[in-house]
Amino acid sequence: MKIEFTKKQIQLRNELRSYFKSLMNNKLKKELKKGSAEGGGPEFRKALEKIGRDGWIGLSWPKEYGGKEATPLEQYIFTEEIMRSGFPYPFLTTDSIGPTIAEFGTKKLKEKLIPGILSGKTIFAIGYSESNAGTDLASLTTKATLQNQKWAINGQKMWTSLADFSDYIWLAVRTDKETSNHEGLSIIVVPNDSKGLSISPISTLGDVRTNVTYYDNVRVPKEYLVGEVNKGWKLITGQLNRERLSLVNNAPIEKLLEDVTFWAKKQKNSQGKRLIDEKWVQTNLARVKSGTEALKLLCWKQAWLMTEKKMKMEDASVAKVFGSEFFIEAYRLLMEVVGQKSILTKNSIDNVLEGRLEMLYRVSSVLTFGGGTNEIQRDIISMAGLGMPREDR
Amino acid sequence: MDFSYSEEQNKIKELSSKIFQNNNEHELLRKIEESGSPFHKKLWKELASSGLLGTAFNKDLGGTDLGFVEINIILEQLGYHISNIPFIQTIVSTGMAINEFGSQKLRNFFIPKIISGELILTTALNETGRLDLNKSDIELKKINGVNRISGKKYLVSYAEESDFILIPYKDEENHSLCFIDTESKGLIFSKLETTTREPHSLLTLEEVEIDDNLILCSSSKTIDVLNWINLRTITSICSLTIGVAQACLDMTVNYSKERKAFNRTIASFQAVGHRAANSFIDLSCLRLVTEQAISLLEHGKEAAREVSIAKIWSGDVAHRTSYTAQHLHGGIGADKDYALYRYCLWAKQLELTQGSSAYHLNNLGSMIRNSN
Ligand SMILES: Cc1cc2nc3c(=O)[nH]c(=O)nc-3n(C[C@H](O)[C@H](O)[C@H](O)COP(=O)(O)OP(=O)(O)OC[C@H]3O[C@@H](n4cnc5c(N)ncnc54)[C@H](O)[C@@H]3O)c2cc1C
Repeated sequence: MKIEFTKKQIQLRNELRSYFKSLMNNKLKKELKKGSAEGGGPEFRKALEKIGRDGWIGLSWPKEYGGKEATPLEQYIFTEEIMRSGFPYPFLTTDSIGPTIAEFGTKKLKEKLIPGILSGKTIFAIGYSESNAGTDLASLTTKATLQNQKWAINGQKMWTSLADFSDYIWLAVRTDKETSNHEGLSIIVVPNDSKGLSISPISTLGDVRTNVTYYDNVRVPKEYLVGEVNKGWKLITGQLNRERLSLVNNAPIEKLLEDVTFWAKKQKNSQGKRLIDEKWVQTNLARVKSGTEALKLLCWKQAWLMTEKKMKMEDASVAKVFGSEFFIEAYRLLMEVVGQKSILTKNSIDNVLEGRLEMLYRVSSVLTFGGGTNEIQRDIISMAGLGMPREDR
Repeated sequence: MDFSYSEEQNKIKELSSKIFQNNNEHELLRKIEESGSPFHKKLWKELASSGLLGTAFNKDLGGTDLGFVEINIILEQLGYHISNIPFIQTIVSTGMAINEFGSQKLRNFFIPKIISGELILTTALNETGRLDLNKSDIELKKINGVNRISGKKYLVSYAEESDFILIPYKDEENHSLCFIDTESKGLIFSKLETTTREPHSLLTLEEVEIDDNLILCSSSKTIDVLNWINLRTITSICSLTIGVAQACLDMTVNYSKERKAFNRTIASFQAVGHRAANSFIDLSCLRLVTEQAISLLEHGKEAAREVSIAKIWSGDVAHRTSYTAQHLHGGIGADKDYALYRYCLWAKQLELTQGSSAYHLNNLGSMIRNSN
């Protein structure tokens, strides 16, 4: 046993840290602060293309696509560093949809999409959820029928995040009208400029923009269906499993803890006592630290298990449940340390750490029900991890 | 022992609930929130004309001579139908203090106009954004024979909307509390933006003149008055929180009985029911510790620990209930076209106002250490 990165991996980390530090220039930071934190603006696009040009998007991709075939451990270091920098990297496109297309897409589709993904020019939105199909995704009703070698798509999706600036939507549709469950679903890639596709915004508690997307007889070529007709469920669950890992990365909370600690060392009360000298402040910081360490190790072990090809079904669920619930607790503990000023927004004068905590507490609940809700993850843990019987559903 | 409300108290509950509910239209509240200076003035007027603003004030000044229990009944209803009005600021933190400690002159000057809704008052007690109640770096200086104060006050709620602000300052050995007219020369307001958009300012005082007629108290008594105000302000926040948390829970229960997944209502999943039940348990505890604090204060008893205990629960329950509600709603809970988000913002703001749970745990710990 040796729970440490190799020298080479540490070197990679250092390289990436300074790379992203210079990538996050003031123009880009300003754009992300002003507009939507999820990216989409010209500076964001420019930076993403640079990351692509410099070969980082393909870090763990196979050589045949021009990738570097790095192991999940290196990929994890990359993820950690980019998340630490605050750049809204489109993980779903590069690490989840991209590899799925590479594995299951038609030759034509691969040729069309993969170069764009690897060069940072192509971004996907995910169109799974509908107003009546969330956790119970298999009940979705948006449908596609084949007419003259084209898919005609009709229906409506809720929460199609990024669709306002993405290039394609990775859409889950029902292709077999006879079914109402997970059988008969397929994945179709829908270009954003398709006729009949319209988008309207949903504004949310976290100020994250997301969208309703409407499909009114949208037509796309037959070969834009990924994999086999009516066999989309496997792609969806496979994609969600990959997604789960990038959701609970420990780097942002680690950075936040460092920043709050630094801030608390500078604050003095009227008697000249530093805030960090308060025992309760130390306890709060220590709680965050001990949770962060556990999360870090869960992530490291997963990256290692993936490298060794030993991942078990429950592993991703453990990290997802713990991570998502810990974030909520950690933001709370840190806001307590900062005190009442932590309720000042990023737009306010006199805010602390640019109002980051005020923003984070508002987005954090999405992780507990999104990406496979925690109740279902706990079901998976008790079934797969503990061998307990499954509840009737 | 009696945990119940009297008939009259129940009537106040009904009346206030009706008024708040009638002014709680989602789109209207959103417009007010996004207006840049959110203050639901129409609601304030209705509270005035209903007589509720006079609840805690003496009959001779036009009030109804009820007490702190009734004030907290109103506050819980306000929390349940949350919107932006300076009720705690004007009625509890300043109005009730004037009623209790002010000279007859001061009472005559302020209270009738508070009751009629004409005057908005607030306090500026924060100096560093943290609680440091018994210290003030605002100092009094005599300049050309006139008393003037200078310094900074953080997170002053409704500062620009108010007519007068109650400010503590150091006056040689002692502290004093004085109202400053917001039109005074030397007062500079810098707008802050808070998570709920409740108006707050950073207040800078540059040699602002003190009007002797507006001094609420001076001498060694000031610390006691400040304590008096703080205990009641904190308790009021707890009552507001009860309303906010109860609304979160009720919305969650109702929604879960309608929302379907896997061909059944999500309420029928045991995990969902248990999580809602935990909020019910939380709220039961919060309600009792808050009622205890209210009761002790109403009857003039020592209540420093009980108030801290109530605030500890209030912070914990605000946080937990809000995230339970968000989680059990799924995506719809985050949609600003649905009212839950507003309650979640308030839950967090109230949790961190006048001391977080961590702060009050530490405070309570000190009180335990110092007891015999
Ligand atoms: C900001 C934001 C961005 C989003 N982005 C996207 C996106 O880009 N693409 C996309 O497709 N979707 C997106 N979503 C949707 C998200 O995936 C769904 O919200 C999520 O799947 C939950 O579904 P739901 O909202 O319908 O909640 P529901 O499924 O209705 O769940 C409500 C509650 O019921 C509980 N529940 C449900 N089933 C069970 C069960 N069997 N046992 C116990 N409890 C249960 C859940 O845990 C939850 O607490 C986004 C949502 C938000 C808020």
